[in-house]
Amino acid sequence: MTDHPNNSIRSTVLEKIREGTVRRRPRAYFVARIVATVLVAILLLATSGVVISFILFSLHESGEQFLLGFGTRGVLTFLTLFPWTWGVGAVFLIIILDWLIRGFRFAYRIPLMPIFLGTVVASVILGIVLNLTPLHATLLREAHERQLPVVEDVYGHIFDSHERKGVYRGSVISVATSTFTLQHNDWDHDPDDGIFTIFVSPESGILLPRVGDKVFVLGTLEEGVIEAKNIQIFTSR
Amino acid sequence: METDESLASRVQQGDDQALGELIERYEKKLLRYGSRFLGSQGEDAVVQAVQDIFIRVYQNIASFDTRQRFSPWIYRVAHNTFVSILRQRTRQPVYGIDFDSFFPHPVHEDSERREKEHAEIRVVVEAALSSLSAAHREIIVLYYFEELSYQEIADVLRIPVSTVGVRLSRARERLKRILPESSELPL
Repeated sequence: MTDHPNNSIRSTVLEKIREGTVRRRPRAYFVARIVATVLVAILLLATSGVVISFILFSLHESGEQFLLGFGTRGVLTFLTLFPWTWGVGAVFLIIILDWLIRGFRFAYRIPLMPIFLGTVVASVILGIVLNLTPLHATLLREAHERQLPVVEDVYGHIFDSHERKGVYRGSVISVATSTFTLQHNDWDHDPDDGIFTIFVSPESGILLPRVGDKVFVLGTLEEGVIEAKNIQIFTSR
Repeated sequence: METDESLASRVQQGDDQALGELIERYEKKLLRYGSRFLGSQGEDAVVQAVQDIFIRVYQNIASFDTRQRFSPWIYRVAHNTFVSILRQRTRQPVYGIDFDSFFPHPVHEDSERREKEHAEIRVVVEAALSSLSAAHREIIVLYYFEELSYQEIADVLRIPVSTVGVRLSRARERLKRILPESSELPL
């Protein structure tokens, strides 16, 4: 690289400044940018927290974690029914959050993995805390009562039935010697809403639930009766 | 002699002549850094890039924290400018996903070894620089030619200090494979 005569870079830059074609950005511009970045980061953290709390709420309300008690078939069904879209959405939000905070001096000096794990832990803790509040229960109730457009669609899927996978869910409304009656209603007025009779063979050793219990029944529907192969009670009366 | 940080502070307060002094101090360093990092882009492209760097420095001087060192800050501006040029001209990602920055690594900056290596490496490596990827080329330039410390390089590239060590080590390994055995590189 040769030296440039008359210090051309210096004179060109200073000339542009003198002409006013290049201006200094005010300090307020950078302060506003930092404030905006911090606000977006807080918003992303809050949103990922809400999404995680919704996942926890939907698992709790649907009782789908009790499917794990059905063995391999239950685990596979649980994995199929897990709200992956929301899970992936939460991870995506956390990745954007990480990318955003990497711009700060305190963050880029730390390897990515501890930052990622830190933001995941922060989001999960926030999700657990939000799940303890009445936020989702209120939204669920409002969605059903007022038929709120988007919210109803989101919360309505929590109570989807899974009879195609041989898993039936619902509330026990009556119990006899070797049968009980299961009622399911996910408020969508489709064929999975209704009343089913469950037959529990005395030889199976399966204990009958009580009236009011919410249960998952693993079985096959034949001629209007479901023969139970396993039962998981996820909300006792 | 007035420090870079003091000059930067004067520029922040509106003293444009202080910028002239900073340009004099950094022009040659940045031209050298640019010509090695941009490689085959040509001398005019490097001169234009360095001019853009000083304009960006002036535009963004209010964001410089005068309690920090000025040198890594201006090298960061230079890095962004050069990477942006490479991206435009090569239309390929200059820096891909760097898995070395995912996990912590032990840091060992050996100053004695560095002194011994520098002069020899500069001579041997110069010709092989263009064969390296942009990421490896830049870290070799910053460490061996611009003589920045691990911490300063970390601040320029915005990566953990431990990643600087790993990336430098990988760049050395790559050089070993590129250079002929007769070059006796002290790597």
